[in-house]
Amino acid sequence: MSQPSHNLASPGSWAPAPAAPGSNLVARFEERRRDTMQLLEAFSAADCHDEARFAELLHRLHKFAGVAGLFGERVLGELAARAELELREAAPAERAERVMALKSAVRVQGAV
Amino acid sequence: MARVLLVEDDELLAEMLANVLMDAGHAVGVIANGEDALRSIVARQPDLVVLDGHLPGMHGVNILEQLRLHPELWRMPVLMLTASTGRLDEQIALHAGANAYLRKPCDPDYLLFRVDDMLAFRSQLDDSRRVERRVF
Repeated sequence: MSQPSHNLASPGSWAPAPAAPGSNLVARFEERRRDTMQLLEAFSAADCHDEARFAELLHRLHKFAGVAGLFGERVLGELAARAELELREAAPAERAERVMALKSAVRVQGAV
Repeated sequence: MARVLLVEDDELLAEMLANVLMDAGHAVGVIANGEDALRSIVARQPDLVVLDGHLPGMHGVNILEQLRLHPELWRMPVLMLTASTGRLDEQIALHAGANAYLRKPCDPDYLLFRVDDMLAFRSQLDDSRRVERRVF
């Protein structure tokens, strides 16, 4: 099933008119940031062996990394992008150590 | 002003990039999935496409390959935007015909620079073809 196009611009239109760009976008980014950091902070070593939960963490990191730089969170975004790649390539036994390293790096940035 | 079609499934990112492009004076359309992308490109004939590498329904490279086979739209400038960090993905995209390849998270100023650069190059190319047609 195909997804609808964003309401930003209808498929036949070249005249997009976002209702309230600035604050709305920032609030949505802050929500994404908060959800990602909360998931990461709560992520345990046991979660690293739960494939569904691990996939959810990768998905959240991916989505966060994609936008962070546009909202002034370049360092945190690059951390998330690099961590996503490393976690995807890591053997299951290495995941917990890499997640802990990411948590430490994120704490240094003051994100949690 | 150019007409830029943004093919991106992350709504927040799409809206943010659209704002960046609109602030620079471009008209922007947004498509959220791969299946609609090619049809929309053909129907709307934008001046430039910003194409996400991973889309619901179809991979960005597959859309690009189909576009490059289109009899009229094969020269359309396409900037691939992807969260993938692998060097191989970049090579595959460029080999498939991407004119530029940017990784997320991208810098808005650099995105605009590449978009404007690609549009300027396309414009020069069109001018030189018009001259060629007049001369020969």
